[in-house]
Amino acid sequence: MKSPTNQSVLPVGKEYWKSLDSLAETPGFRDWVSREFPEGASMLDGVQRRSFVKLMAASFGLAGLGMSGCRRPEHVILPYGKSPEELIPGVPAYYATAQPSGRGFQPLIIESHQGRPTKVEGNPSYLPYGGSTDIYAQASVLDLYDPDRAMGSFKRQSLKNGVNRWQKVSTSTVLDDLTQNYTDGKVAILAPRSHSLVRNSLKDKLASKGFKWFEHDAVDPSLAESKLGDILGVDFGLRAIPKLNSAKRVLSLDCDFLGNRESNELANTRSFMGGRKVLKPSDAKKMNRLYIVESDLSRTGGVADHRLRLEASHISAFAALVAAEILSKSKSSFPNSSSINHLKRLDSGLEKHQKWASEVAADLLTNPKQSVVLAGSHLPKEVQLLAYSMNRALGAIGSTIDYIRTETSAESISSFVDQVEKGNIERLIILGGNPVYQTKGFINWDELSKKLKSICRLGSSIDESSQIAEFHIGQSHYLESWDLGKTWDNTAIVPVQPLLAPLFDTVSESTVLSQLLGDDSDDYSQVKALHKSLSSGTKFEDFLRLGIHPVVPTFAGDVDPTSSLLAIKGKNLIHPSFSSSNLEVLVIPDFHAHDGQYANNGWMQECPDPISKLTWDNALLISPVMAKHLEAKYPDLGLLPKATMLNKNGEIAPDAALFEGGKQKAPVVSLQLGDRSILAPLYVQPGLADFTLVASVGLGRTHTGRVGQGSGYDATPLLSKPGSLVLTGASIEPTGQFKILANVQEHWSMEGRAIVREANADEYAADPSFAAHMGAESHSPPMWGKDQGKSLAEKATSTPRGNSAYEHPDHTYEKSDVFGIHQWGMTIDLNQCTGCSACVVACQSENNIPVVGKDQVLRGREMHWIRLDRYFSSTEREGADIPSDVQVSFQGIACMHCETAPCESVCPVNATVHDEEGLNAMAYNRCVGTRYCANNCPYKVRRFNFFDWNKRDTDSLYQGPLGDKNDTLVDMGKNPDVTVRMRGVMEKCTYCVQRIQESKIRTKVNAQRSAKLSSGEDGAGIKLETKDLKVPDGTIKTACQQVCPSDAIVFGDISDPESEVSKLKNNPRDYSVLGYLNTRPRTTFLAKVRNPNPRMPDFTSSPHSAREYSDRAHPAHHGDDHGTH
Amino acid sequence: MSEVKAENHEILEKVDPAPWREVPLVLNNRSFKWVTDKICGIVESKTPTWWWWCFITALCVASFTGMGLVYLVSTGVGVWGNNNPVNWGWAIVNFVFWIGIGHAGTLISAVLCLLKQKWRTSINRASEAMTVFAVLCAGIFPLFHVGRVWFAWWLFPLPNSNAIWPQFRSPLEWDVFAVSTYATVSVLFWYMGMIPDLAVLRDRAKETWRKYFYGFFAMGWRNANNHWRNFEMAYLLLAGLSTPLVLSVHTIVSFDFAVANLPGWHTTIFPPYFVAGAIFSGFGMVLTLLLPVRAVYGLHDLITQKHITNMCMITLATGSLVGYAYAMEFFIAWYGANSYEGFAFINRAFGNYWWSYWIMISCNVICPQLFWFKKIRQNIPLVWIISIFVNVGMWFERFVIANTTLSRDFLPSSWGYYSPTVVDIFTFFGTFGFFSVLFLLFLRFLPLMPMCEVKSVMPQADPHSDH
Repeated sequence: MKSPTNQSVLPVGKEYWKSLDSLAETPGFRDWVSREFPEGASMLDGVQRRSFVKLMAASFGLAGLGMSGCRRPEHVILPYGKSPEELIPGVPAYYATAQPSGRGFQPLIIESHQGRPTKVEGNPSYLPYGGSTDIYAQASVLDLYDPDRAMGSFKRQSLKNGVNRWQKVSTSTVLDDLTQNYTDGKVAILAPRSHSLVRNSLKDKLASKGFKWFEHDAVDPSLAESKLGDILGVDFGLRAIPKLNSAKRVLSLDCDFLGNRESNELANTRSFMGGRKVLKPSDAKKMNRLYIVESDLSRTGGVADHRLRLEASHISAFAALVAAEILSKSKSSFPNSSSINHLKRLDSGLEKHQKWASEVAADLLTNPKQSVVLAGSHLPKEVQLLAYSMNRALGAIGSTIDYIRTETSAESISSFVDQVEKGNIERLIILGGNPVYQTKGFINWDELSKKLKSICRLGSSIDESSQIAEFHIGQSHYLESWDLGKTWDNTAIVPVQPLLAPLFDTVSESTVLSQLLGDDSDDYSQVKALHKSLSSGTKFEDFLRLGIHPVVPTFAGDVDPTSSLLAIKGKNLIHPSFSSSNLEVLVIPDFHAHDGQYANNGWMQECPDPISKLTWDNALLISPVMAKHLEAKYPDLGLLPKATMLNKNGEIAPDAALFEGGKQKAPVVSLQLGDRSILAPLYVQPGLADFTLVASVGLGRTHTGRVGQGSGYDATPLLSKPGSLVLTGASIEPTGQFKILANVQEHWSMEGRAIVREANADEYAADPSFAAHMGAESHSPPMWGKDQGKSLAEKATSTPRGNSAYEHPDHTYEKSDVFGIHQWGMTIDLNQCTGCSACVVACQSENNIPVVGKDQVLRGREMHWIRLDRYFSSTEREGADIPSDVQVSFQGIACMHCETAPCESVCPVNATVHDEEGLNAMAYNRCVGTRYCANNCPYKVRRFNFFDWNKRDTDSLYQGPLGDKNDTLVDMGKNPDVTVRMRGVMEKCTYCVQRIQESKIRTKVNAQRSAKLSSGEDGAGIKLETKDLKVPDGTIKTACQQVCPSDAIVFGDISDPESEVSKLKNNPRDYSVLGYLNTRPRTTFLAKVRNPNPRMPDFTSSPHSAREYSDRAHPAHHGDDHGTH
Repeated sequence: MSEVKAENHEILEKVDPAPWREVPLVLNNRSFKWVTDKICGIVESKTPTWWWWCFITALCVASFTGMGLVYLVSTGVGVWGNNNPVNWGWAIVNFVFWIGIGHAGTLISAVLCLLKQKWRTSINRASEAMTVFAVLCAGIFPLFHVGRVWFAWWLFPLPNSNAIWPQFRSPLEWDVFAVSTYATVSVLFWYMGMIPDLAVLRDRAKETWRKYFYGFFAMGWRNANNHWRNFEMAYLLLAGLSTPLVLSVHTIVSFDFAVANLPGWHTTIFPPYFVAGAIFSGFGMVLTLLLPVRAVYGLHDLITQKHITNMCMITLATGSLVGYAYAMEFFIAWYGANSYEGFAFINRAFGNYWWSYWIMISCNVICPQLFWFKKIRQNIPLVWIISIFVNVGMWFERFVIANTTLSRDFLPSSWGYYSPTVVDIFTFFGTFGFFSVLFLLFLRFLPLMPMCEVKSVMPQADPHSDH
């Protein structure tokens, strides 16, 4: 699909929006306009896009010519002369596509409004993800409308002061240049890893023509598979695909399989969390159990039932410890005793964890074929082998885990450097990615580029890697391109189809590669041809509609690891003990930017990191123990909270540490690692291994757009070779400087309040309604009057609001035609949430929620409608010390749509009112902005537009009307079904009222249609019944619900006793947050159930937060007996 | 007979019980004419240089509010320091502060009038002026703190094209009525009481503009008997009308907090506690204003030590009431056994805003206790300084109530911290200028004491005073 417009017309940058204007300035165009206009109108008959654009321009031009001097912007909309088929104005269209990434293609459905993609959803036809998406896919639509994109192709001009100036050139000339000059056989292509089949086929053709292909990723989850293949001595990779829905016991060796550090997060979350659904006491017995040994506190660690903090470098030895236990006790014939004895000799140094390890092994062994061991992809190949051996011994392979056979990956970037040194490579094409940023720790690109004749770069923005290139070719967004690729688990082939023609003069990766081959067939026909070759039978159009073509992956088959096990040398496993001067650094992909790709994405930057809750920055995470060491040495650092009268009572409060105007001041340290050093702000993170520092790559970029500029620090100089993410021998030294970090949740502890209610599985089995026995309402007077004993769902619909003396409309199902056909409600299962935060960005995308920038986040003005609260809880703690071992609880909080809403009664202008279906409606037009509602909201979910976020550039908010306006490109991505709020008004979660209305309208239209068909009548004679107007359960999905991989959020009609949400509300685990306030929220929570093993050394009979609560609520009962109450 | 008389007289001389000699409210046996000359002289004399300096300074300071508001309206509420947990920052604090100050005027003129406290006469006019100006300053904040000030008129129950009434359940709506009623009645009361004095100024006027200016506002006052009779009755009625307002306004302002469900706000003690605090701060402000005025204009014979002592005692009494309320809040929080409530109060004293709590306690509870001592009550500079502490303390009381609760409410995840911006500080600072501008104009152009009422409490006004 070629760009339809004449490239030379489109100016760069902010000018693009005026392109029609500048077109209107050309004399030829004026001539054309001056002719009779209806002549032009007749051209519409052909429905040719070009002429349509011309016509649009013509009317635009007319407005401009006629009304020049008028300052009011004129918007001229030309109705379709002949409407495109199936396009109804105002009704969005949905297309199946996929997001390509190094972690497999993610099948998607894209919502498109009149040709503008606005919202990303998962493709439900791909069952492992069940219609969910990860947070990056949600945010990716914003990249399409990024004003800092490379809007075309550019030639670099070096100015004398070392600054590069980019001169706009047409992409076709650069591509021509490429065909002419990059054909001499000494051309290398450097790209990030991809699962694209189009790329694979082109790659093979290119290889035959002498092009050399190299791949590199800063964080590469595919490394694990080649490491395993390598140590097993086979010539293919073995990719571990966990099948967690059949797993009862999971041991994770530093493997963040529910998080963004590994691939297949969505399938893992869906299957694993599915095994933690407990709806009745008998489910508690069947609940799965997760053990994790990790150095960082990952989201997976947050979910775990048992968590052992261990430096990443010690995990190999720990794996040997567990492996020796499992292999010696497993019933399978494998392996022989010599290899067990060999392993036992390797595990020295970790005796103190012996009990932990043997109990884990014992628990895994009691559930053979239902246990699985997962190893982090950053860990050395010995761990991969040990995990493989354990899985094999447990009989897990084929049952709870599959190993699929993968091609050994392309040559690495190291061999690329070698070949350049040898003179085998003279020209380089950097195909996407950002290798210069990611590899500057081990490649001196300035020197290297001198040895090359020329470098050409394809990229979506002008970044670090463009700085060494002669040409930058603008890369099309995936929503503008054709492609075909495989999902991570190789069970499906998915298409990438464009939702719109490229907005700018950009091309896709495969266009560039085809150009090199001299092949001028377009991407579309390549994808079509490839699809034909892969699948016989399905029509291409059907494939595009479904978005999925299932395939069977190639399994690796059984490989005997015995000889490899015997070959493990002790020195590969044992590491020196760490201390405050000899630290370990674990490098992880940044939550906000992943490997740097999303650094310029405002949604990602502002979405708080699930664990640290930092926005707009990454920090060097250190453990509380390390913080104490540092404080002892440098007392002025202010890392740890000072003891106050308050936190002596047991508060975990870093907000008592060094603060400036309420903002957290993080000391900037210099991290020394051999001859490498970086500067980074420190952030104390409970749950880290004592002497592990966690650094993240992806931020601290030097050449990025306006959003990512100046965000975070750069950890890439630490990386000394590809794929090496665990580094040892580091030390840190304060620099005396401080950096202010924007943390949206400075307070860690729940303060012993029954906000997230938790119990262990045994406690739950004994008392399924434990949640009702917690919180102030458990001993406050009954507030439901005679209905006290009824279920929550029943009470919400039948009990008069506030027990008022006034007559209350009957909300019951049978009589629901009286007043509001539906009664909306929501449950959030706290036991299902992994904290992935995809709901936060999904809501932002669906509801046009603005990005406010770091400065405003620091001022406490972030606008997210759904907030993912993260609490730490712990048991033993002395004074103000920050605990090292914590339990993590997540809780998504959005507007609860309280039945007796405190916000409604205090609004002086009736701007927030209850509707007949139980929604707490917010009339933006009526709001004057007293903010009283926000004060009176006990959940603090209301968000105020302190500035014109949507109109003003975040850098010039304080300049008021004199400030710069926002780039209007971003406006194209806004959801037209949702009002864009102006300054001075309050906003909050609406339960996605636009989706509710859409479904209600559609239900009514369908009902009318079938009534017309059945009765044969038309018009006013038709009377629809209430049941026809009822939206069937499950039809409406709120944006947060739709994206959730573990289905933690359920929305529906609570007046219908058969709806899923009603059933969940009747579950005894269901409770209202702050129920004692009698707000009667429509959103309720299902209490969390943990499943610890009583035989484990770190077992506690109640979750930490429940103990904190009972200690606060019943201070007299100190001792071991911390029951549910 | 005459002897007896003489004897009796002698006895009488001996046993004559010393009459209860009230401390005269006007010292030095001044004549009516002296009072008229003194009060009118302030208005009629040449504008003093100090007045010009003060006025210009006050104007400059007032412009801070003006600029602050222009910036605020053109740019957004974000220029203030408010944030998500603390949606009301200084704006509401300042509103309650100024409204509280506005309480003394009505109390002095209405309540003390009904209670026949004669000493009120020397200070009631200036206090009423202070009330009116303080209410004007107070009005700025709730009006401009809203996000879309151009729609603030939606708070008034006007029939409009949207056909939506305001929401009568909201305390903010009650505020609109309470404050506007209070402002109206205060202005009426103030102005009506001034009419006889304006007539005096009219009659004494030499310049034409004065004749017309005071003549217009004197509304044809001719000192006739029926004028006086109507005046007295109207004054009494207005006093009766505004007495409940003294209690209602701050009660309703306290509902802004008490009706909300937040820990530390949701408490029934607020109305009496706020009223006491308002009278406390009002008298503090009256002292702050009148002591310099007394010194500058040499009004020592009219505003006597007795006035000052009385005001000090009221300050002491209300200050102690406020202190009692602070203690009672803690007691209720403990006795109520609600952990959220308990935390809110411990947090007030020892949490993130502990300093503001202790400023409040020292200024409001400890400082006024000095007024137990006669020596301190008679030390005018010290009284003035303490009165300023009272004002500072009462500002902090509102700050403590608003901010400690909002920044640390139910869910610890949303806890935050509020600090004002430069715009907040300047806008508030500017209101002192605005207030001073108005007060200086009042001093310059209007009779600062009700001459007729002062005369009525002088010995000469009572034909039996010699007996």
